[in-house]
Amino acid sequence: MAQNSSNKKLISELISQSTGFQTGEENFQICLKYAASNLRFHRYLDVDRHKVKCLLNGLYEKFTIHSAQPAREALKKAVSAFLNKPEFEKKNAPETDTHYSILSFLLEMSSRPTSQHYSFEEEDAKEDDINVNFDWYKYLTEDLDPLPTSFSDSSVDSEASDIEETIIAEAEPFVREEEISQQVEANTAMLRELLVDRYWAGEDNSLLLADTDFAHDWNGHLRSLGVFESFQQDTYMTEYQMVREVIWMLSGATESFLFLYNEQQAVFSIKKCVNLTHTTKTSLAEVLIKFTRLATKVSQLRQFVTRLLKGDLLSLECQTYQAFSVACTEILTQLDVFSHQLSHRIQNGDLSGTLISILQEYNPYQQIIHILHTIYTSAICPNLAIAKPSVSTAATQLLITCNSLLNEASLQAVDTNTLTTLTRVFVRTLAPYLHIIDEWLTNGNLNDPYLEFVIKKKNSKCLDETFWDMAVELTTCEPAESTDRITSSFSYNYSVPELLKGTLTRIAISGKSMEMLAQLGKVSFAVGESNKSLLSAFVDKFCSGLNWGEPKETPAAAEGVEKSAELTLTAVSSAPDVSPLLHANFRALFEEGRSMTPVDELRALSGQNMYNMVNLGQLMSSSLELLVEERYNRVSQCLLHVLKDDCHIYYFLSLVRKVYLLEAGDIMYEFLWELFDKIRLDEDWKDVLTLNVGLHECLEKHFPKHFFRFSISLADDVRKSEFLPIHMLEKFHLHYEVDWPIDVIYNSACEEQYNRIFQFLLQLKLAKHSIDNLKFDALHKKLTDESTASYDTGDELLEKSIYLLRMKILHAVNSIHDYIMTTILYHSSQQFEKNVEAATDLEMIMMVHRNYLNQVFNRCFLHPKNAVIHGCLLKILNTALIFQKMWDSGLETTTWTKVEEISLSFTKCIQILMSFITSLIKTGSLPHLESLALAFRDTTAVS
Amino acid sequence: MPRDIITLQVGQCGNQVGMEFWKQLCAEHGINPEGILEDFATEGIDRKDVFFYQADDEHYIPRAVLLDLEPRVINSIMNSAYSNLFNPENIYMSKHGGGAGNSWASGYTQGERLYEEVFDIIDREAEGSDSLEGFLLCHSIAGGTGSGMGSYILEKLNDRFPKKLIQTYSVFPNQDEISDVVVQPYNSLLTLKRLTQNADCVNVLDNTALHRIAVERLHIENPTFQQINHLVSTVMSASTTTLRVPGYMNNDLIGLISSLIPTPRLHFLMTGYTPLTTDSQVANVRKTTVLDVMRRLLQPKNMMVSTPINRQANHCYISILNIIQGEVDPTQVHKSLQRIRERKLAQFIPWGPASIQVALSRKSPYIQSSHRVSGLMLANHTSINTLFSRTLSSYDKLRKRGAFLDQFRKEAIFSDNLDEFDDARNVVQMLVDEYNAATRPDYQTRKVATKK
Ligand SMILES: Nc1nc2c(ncn2[C@@H]2O[C@H](COP(=O)(O)OP(=O)(O)OP(=O)(O)O)[C@@H](O)[C@H]2O)c(=O)[nH]1
Ligand SMILES: [Mg+2]
Repeated sequence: MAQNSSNKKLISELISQSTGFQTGEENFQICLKYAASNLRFHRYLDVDRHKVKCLLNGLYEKFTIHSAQPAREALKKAVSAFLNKPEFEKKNAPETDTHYSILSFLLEMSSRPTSQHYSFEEEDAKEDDINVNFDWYKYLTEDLDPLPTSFSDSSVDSEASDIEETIIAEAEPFVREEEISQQVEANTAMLRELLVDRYWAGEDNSLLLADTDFAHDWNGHLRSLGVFESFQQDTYMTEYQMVREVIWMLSGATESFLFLYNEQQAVFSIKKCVNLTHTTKTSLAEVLIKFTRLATKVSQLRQFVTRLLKGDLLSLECQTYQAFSVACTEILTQLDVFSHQLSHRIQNGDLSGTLISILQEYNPYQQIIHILHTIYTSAICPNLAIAKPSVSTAATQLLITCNSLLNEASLQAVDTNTLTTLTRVFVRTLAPYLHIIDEWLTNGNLNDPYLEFVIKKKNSKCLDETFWDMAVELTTCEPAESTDRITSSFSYNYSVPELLKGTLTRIAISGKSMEMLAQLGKVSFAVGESNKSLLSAFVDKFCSGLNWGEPKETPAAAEGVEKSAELTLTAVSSAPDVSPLLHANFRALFEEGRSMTPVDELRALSGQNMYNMVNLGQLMSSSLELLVEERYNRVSQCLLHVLKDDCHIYYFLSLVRKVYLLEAGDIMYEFLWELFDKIRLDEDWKDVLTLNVGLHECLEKHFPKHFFRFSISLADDVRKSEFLPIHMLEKFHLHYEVDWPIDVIYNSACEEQYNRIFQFLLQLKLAKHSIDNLKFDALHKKLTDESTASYDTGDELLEKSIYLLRMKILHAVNSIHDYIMTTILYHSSQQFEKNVEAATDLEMIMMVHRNYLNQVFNRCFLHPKNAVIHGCLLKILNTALIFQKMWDSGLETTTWTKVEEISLSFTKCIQILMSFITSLIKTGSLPHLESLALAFRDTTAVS
Repeated sequence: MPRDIITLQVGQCGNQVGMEFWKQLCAEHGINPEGILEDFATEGIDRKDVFFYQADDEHYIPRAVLLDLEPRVINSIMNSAYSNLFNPENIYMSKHGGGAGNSWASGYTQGERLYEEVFDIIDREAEGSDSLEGFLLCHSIAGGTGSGMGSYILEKLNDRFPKKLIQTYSVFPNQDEISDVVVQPYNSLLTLKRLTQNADCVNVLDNTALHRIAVERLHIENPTFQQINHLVSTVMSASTTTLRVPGYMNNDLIGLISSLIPTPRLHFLMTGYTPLTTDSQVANVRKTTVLDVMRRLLQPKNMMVSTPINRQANHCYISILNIIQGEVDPTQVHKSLQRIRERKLAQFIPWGPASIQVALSRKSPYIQSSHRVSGLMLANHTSINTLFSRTLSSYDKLRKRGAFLDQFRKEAIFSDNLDEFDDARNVVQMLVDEYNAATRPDYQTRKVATKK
């Protein structure tokens, strides 16, 4: 730039302008010299080649430090190429000032070269062999059994948590430069990308084993050679490699470098001596153990499924197990698909391949796999261990466990997806049960080939009175208990799936009803309108139930928060495309939030806020209950209808009461009158043939179609320590022939009870008949025959005392009679009719009938514990017979002593009776007894 | 087999009362005035054969014998809608007769004369019955035919059917209208003797009380006999309801009355009924409880016998039978009884058990009733003897004057002497005395004047 002459002029001008010195002044010369020297020797504003070169070298070093070797090389290459290009200053020469000027300019412009990301074409080409398009899934599942699949995978969002970022930040090995570490904090996402690239590249780090597969093989080789067997060397792996192995392991691969597999127990464990560069051994183990646990559960489930499919578990083969295994398979397949996708995502760089993030990704499966595995270990494993397991117990246990885990999960507000999946698993597992129930309740066919249902057929098709009681039984009940279990209602000491607990009795009743209808050929009567299967109906009900599960109570103190939540809730529920489970989940959240308020805390304490949560188990039970109820109503009504209209059950039952309990007094009257007259006249009445003819004659008028069903037989003798004339009626045995299915209600046990009551009523009626029909004339008959002279005042008093005794006995007999007839029979049968009217199924009718019969039986004092009272009553009744004998023989033959004797024993009987009755009243066991006591009180008061 | 009962209705009163009874029975059993079973009643479980017999599938004929010495009353029955109800062969009326002319003696004598004819009918009727339990006699004791002929029939029934029960519904004359039939004390006394000796059970229907009830309780200014007879028929049908409707309780007449009658002579029963309504008063539907009914039955105003209230004697109940009709909870009966006893609403004899029996019975489904529950009381009460002693005193007054004895002397039974009167007086006096004795604790040890 030395253009001397022109420069001199310009400098002179500059000096004169800036200083005011004139040419020729001394100072002017000094200034000129200085300026000219500066211009000549200092190359002012020109580029300094040396400085540019130094800057470039510094940059190269910086790149190295930043481990950006390629960038350094690239820069070096670019700079030398540039400098060697003869482009500038019209000189065909490299390294002109212009070159350096441009370089300097560029260097000034690039403020932070190391913080930039550079991409190089050559690098991409180099990584090609880690094949992007390789089918990992296929590769991984190559040697595994194919699993049946068709399950839409649920999309799972995984968010990187704060923890993960911190861990990554800690793992960052280049924290030397403060600038960079600040950036880490400022832009973690970018840092992660940087990191990922670096590690994924796995390059240029001598610490890490280049190829774990190779190492694995090498170790295997050493082992096979038998040398260095115990030699364990710490191996280093990249995180990428570990992730890869983890995914393989979860996909079912048993051979891996990182993990050991115990085939027997299907347990995975971590190989020792494997290290990761940037974590401590413990923290690595902590992470890996989680994976091995998951993998162990997965492989055990897989093993179970395989065994079941192969038929290894023949002794436990049942539909419920199969259904459960199918449900498991679905989830396992889903898991496989997910693993496959995961590996894709990692390769595509959509996902950071750290162990922690992978663990996070697997989170949604963790829970469901864990629950499935819990089911497997607690419900299935114990049965696998038993030599001869009961299939139904196994099935029941499986269902119970599923159910309780579901309940637990729903109460713990587990995330929605897990709940959905779990619900699906449960419903699937339940399906065989529901099918069995469905078939039983629709066709009366308890089709249970593997005997897994809680109820099993007890007796094959016996059409007698035991039909109802003997038809089915709980399979799980112990044999010892089943024998004394004559009553047909189930008690729940036995293990029954929670879900079925509320409905089992109804199911059993409906099932038996259907069987009965089938026997009667009336199945078609009970067909409902909808032909939906129980399972699909159940699922429908359940799903719709999730929507209406409104809280039954709203606390009085409704808070603002609550209101807004309620609003949101309605908004959510009104949106048509919102899934019910989302709704449910939202509700659960909302309820949870609300339970923080003190009001609700209280309620939580008292255990009352359960219903606020969507308790899935409960919801299922109620859904099933509704459906079973529906079927039960239909079937029971149909059966009752058939029994009423086709079998005339009510008619037969009323016939029983009319005949045995003398309800319609007149119907048996003729027969009894004749019998009593014979007894009174001491004629022989014990001819069975005559008795039967008499009975049929009197019944035929009223029941021309059914009279022949009744027949009388006489027992040989009545064993009694003290035989009274009244006891002879206990020989009577009335038999009533009924057809199936009426004998299911009126069975032989009933007949026995009816007979006992019948005998007692006969005794009562005989006593009343005897004492009622004492004609005053009869007493005097012989008297008037002979002479009236003997009629003196003594006789008059005797006569009076006989009258009085008659009055007392009459009163006693009438009181007993009225008590039994009105308070007991009339009242009980009124109740019975009411209860029968209200009965909704055969079981209830049977129960009502049994209760009625027992009640009457007890109140007639026929129960052994009331034997004393019964004995007293009979003695009183017997007194009537004795008294009648005395009366009929006439006043003449009667003596004071005889009257007094009868009177005395009678009074004693009444007194004993009274004391027993009084103590019985105090116990309150026979509520109506007071009326009898009341009546007797007068008798005793007088005597 | 039901226990059949043959109804004998004698004289004007007997036939008029009887006719009302049959109307009531027909309605309750669903039998129309022609004797044909109504369509709606074919399924009934009630026992029609106690009082009816079946001529054919649907034709029911009352077991009734209609007797009168004058044709007027029976003719009016035969001209009514019910003309075809009765078996014409069971009707006896004197073609030419002017009745008994209010003379017991005339009625008795004519009864004696017509013995063959009358007992032909009765015997035939009794033969036709499968198992006859007894007879039911409807009559008045004050007229001529009902009392005289009725007395004769009672005597003869006792002879011919010693084992059969004889129950009467005997209408006692209205004391307020004593001038009507001046000789009624004679008639009553003579009839009372037969009722005491030859009947097993007498339901006393006092025209005095019936009239009072009609006026005071039913608010009828001048009650007609028909209105009064409606009360009587209500009582009669209610007292037979347990026989006619099957149930757990008493199926026979004897079962009903045996406990009511402690000794042979004390068999005169009072009746009470509640609630009482006439047809025009039906609207008043009330919820009546068993206790209400039983308590009201114990009130004298509902009794169909008028007895003076304030008397020095401690009159008391010997026994009570309540027949409750309608929908009743049996357990309530016991509670009601307890209340009655606790509150001493009923005074009982001091020498025997306080016998209150309650029989429950259904109501006829064919009759609209304004009351859910109704009750009839049959009571043996010692105060009934005031009726008899009143008759005695009236008789004594007439006898002292020797009034109207000519009519009696005309008849065979009194042609020689009037001993029959004395005998009857003696019997009735003994009856009065016995009832009085029954009010005292020493009844069973005390001797009552005996016949020689
Ligand atoms: N309750 C009632 N009492 C009647 C009826 N008819 C008559 N009496 C009463 O009966 C008594 C008269 O007896 P009646 O029955 O008329 O006489 P009878 O039996 O026909 O005898 P004679 O007419 O004398 O042949 C009087 O005390 C009347 O009050 C009646 O329909 N109902
Ligand atoms: Mg007349």
